[in-house]
Amino acid sequence: MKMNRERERIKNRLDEELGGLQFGGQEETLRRTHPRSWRDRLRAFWNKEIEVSLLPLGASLAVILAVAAIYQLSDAKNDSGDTDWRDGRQLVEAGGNTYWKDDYERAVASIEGND
Amino acid sequence: MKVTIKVKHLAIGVLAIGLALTLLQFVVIPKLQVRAAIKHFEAGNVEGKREMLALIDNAASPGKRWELIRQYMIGPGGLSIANRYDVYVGPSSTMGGGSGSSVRDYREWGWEEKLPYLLEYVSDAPVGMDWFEAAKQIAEYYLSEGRTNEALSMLELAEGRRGDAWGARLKLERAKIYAARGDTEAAGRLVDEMEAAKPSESLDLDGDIVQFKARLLVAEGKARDALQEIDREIETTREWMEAEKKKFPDMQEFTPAKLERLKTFRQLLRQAVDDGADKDAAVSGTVKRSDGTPLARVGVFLRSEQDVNHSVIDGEPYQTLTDAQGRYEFKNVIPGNYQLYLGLQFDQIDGWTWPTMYGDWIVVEGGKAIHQDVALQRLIEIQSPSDEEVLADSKVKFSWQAVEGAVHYSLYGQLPIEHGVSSVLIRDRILGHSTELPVETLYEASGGGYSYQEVNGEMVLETRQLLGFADPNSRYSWYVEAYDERGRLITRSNGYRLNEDTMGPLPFFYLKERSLNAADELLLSGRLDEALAEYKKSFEADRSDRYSLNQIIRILGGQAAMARHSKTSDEAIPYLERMMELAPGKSDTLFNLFDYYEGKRDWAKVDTYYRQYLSAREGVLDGYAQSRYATALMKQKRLDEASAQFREALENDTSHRFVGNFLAVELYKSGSIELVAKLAETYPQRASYDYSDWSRLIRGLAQESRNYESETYGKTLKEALEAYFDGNESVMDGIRQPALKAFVEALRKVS
Repeated sequence: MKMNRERERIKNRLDEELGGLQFGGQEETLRRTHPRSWRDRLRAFWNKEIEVSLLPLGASLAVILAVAAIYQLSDAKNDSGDTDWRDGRQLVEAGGNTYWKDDYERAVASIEGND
Repeated sequence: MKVTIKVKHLAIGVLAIGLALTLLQFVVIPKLQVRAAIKHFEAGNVEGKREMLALIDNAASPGKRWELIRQYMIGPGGLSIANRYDVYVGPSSTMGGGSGSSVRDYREWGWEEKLPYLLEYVSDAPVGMDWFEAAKQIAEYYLSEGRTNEALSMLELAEGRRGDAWGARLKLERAKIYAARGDTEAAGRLVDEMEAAKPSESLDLDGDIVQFKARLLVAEGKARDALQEIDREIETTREWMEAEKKKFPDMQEFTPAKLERLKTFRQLLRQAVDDGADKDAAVSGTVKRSDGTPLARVGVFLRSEQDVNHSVIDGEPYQTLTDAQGRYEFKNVIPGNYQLYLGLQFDQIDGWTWPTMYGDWIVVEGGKAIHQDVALQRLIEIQSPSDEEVLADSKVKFSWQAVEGAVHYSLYGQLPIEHGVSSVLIRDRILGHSTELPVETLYEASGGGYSYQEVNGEMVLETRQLLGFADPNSRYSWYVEAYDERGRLITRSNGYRLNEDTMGPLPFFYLKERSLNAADELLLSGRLDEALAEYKKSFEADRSDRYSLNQIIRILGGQAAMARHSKTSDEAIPYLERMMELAPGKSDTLFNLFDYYEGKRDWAKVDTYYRQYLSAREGVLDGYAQSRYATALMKQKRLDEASAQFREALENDTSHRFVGNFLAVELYKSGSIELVAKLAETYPQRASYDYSDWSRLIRGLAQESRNYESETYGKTLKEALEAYFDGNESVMDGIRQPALKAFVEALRKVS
């Protein structure tokens, strides 16, 4: 008895408090739980949660990066191969002659190294 | 390990990565490729060229395409033949041109690769400097291949695109080609068209057109009209300047390059007109290596006396390129004195030299066709000493590869001084391709000049130069020149050595036969007076100490030069005379003594020392010494002897710097202005610091003489010349006849 009364009181209170609210989302909820149209199905799929294993994802990313890096590196190696032959070379006048400065310095260094 | 995500997040992520990849593929990577291609191309890689071509072919927009062609095929804007070469060589100077590496890119193209792109550029790209340059380059190429008609039609076609100054520039190029072909009529027609279209908006262009027209007029025998034409243009330019000044009163004073060029050109023309030249001339020849290989696309410059004192510039009228057979030709050359200059790339000069000499002039006379071939010669390979060899014996041996046809060699040493190096003649007229010299020869070798350095704001003598080859710690170098029997330079050992094959041994050596003494140490530390006192002390202690004696003479000479006295001071004479006792055949000492006594008008001693000098030189004379002796004879009024000496000397010294004295002698002897006028024409003085136009001065005398009774003027003339011979300054200062005064003033500057 007492419990019934208590329950009633709570219900009354609830009614009173929720009196201003009305649930209007029945249709929406139904659509989501039981999609009928293609749009609804698409949306359901769009929001579907999937589990992805990190291991294969990480591994494939690593492979892509590695390939890119190797490609870049081999390119850079080609770059440095021939570039030193004339770019930015300076002339120097020494002993009445005109030499490329780097050639001249190398020649002098090799002479002085022999002494 | 697993993560839970929504499909939409996965999709967005995939999309983002895709987008990034697309961006990379179509924007970033192409940009990187462009950069890489440019880098490879600039580095001179073979695949760089291919990449660059692909880049141009696949350029995203026409604008980009033009930019690449402009930058990597045509070359930096306005790279005319007056400034595109690595080296410019001529009788008066050798000059490095551009920086080398920065102007190289566009040259790497072969014409078969480049031509279609340049043609396209000329027909479709926006008109401007580069467009003009492209058309000019194509024309140059066609001409060098002998495809003159193609050059003409290409220029005409391009010209049709624009009627403004750029079009006019191309028209001028076309006119020049016609003139070079000898078709002055067609050239003249184009000039008329250009003049009808005036005024152009370019001063320089107008100046170039007028200069060109003047040359055509000279070709038609209308030199005077040409002069008038130039005068009119100078006047117009001056008026224009006045107007500009009024418009912009705040503007700084300036002279347009055009005016300078016109004035220089006018001088040339004026001289030709005065000399009665009524026809133009042609100068042609080939540029080859001594082994017969022709040098194609070498810049050839025919430079007038007025121009040789500065570097090669765009406005000079005679500039051309050699064709595939190394041939060049200048037509419509105005008579006058010219020097030939070459513009060469490093790979053309590397290991080679053009043995042109200081006094090499081409005398161009009207109506003549002058042929002047150029042969580059291989540099002499030096043998020893080399590669910083240390020489410590009392004799030093120099040896080098023999040169075919060489009769004698001159050996030069170079010593490092504060700023740069000082070159010193060690020995000339060496008969074989090696020589062994007492080490004293090096210690006593003197360059004849002194250099100065600034110490605490004061100019003092450069002491390292005074020590010469006597510093065991200095690194010296040497080079050698080969001459034929007529005294013409054949080749030399010093030049451009830019790759392993041409570098050869380095010409450096150390001379460690002696060690520095106390006086030397003082000299090196810049205490000149103390050093001199110390050398004197050593010499007084041992009067046969040649080393100290030589140092005393050298320091006294330097001090005299520093004080701008004559070369030799009174104080030096006893030392020089003592040196003559110790080393009787020393020619520079003998010349010093000759020079000193000439200044003192002590004729007996002048004769003695000159005779000794002559025998020390084994009778072989340079024009300078002989002219000096002839001048001494003139001052003694031994005029017949003087005249003979001058004549001989003028043949040996092509600068003709003493010709004034010769004319004075002849004028005094003969009294005939007419005769002397002819001599002045035969031996024109070359442009130099104290240059005089003797022909003009003599013409002035001839004109002035007409105002007087011939006897009176003749007498005045003789008196004036006598005053000059005697060094009688007050009489010379008192001359009243303006032309005579000008003549005598010019004589006083002869030295």
